[in-house]
Amino acid sequence: MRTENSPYSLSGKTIVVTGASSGIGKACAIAISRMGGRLILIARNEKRLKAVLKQLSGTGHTVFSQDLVQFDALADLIKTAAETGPIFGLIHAAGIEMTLPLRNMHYTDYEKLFALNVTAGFELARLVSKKKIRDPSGGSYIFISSTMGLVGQSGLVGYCGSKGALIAGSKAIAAELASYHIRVNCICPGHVQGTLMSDQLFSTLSEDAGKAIINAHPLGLGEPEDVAYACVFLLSDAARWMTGAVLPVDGGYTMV
Amino acid sequence: MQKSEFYDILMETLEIESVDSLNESTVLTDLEEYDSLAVLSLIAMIDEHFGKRIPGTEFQKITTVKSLMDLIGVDFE
Repeated sequence: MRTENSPYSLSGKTIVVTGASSGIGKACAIAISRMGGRLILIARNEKRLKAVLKQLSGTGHTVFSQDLVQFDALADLIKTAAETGPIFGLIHAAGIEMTLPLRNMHYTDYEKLFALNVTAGFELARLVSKKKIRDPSGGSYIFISSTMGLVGQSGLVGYCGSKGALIAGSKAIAAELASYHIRVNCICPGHVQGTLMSDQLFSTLSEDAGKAIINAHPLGLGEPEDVAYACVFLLSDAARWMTGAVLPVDGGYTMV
Repeated sequence: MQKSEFYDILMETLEIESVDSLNESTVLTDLEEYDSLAVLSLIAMIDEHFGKRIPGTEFQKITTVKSLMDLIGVDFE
């Protein structure tokens, strides 16, 4: 596909994707590469990460096997990653889910959820927006929040809290980085099937509870690509007037 | 603290790139990098390195690097 003259082209843009070894992160990586973007992929599982690398179009992509909650290691990682050129974009797709009623939540559970879902994302935004690292032309950062950051659900107090925090924090980052032409937005996916998180969730649910989730999405459950295409749009110049936005990509989950 | 060390910290705080662009007579308020967020960064930097909490209103007095050093109020070598 020729993309150079399209407002959706990602040619010449370098984008960091976390959680890139599976699910939404992996779909984002593949979609971005097809639109001409160069990727820096981060995930814990090196084997799966290298498998994703083989599925990418184009050249010049790099992978880093790194646990994102080892915050002290991130500065060196981003510095190394930026040696091949400035960084334009960030997609923070890494995240964990925890289904536990409030009465069973231990305070360390919140710390664990927030460390990866929120702190790692904001720390990466800090690092890639440094003057020596960022693309002088501007940038686009996307935090993968969730419909659970917009509405509440029983048993998800920690997850909902962390995803809501991403939305609020991303708007502050958007305000702070606007003068560098760095746009910062959140995407709130509904339930995406075929991901580790989805498989894990459905394995803990009764058949009725599983059907209720499916029925709550008027367009049915999503695919990782449905979220990836929204990310391509937000990364591209087609979204150059969008910042601080919260975009539900949820098959209608939050409209009903 | 050595002046040179302070300049390094200051350049990192304000994201100034060129090493020879900073000395005591540099007018901070003329720098592209010096804005309201830069003041917040400086307050945090001074707290971290000198253990002093300087109110934002005090920064209205700041013009040059020397005036910032005077505001911090320690002896630089």
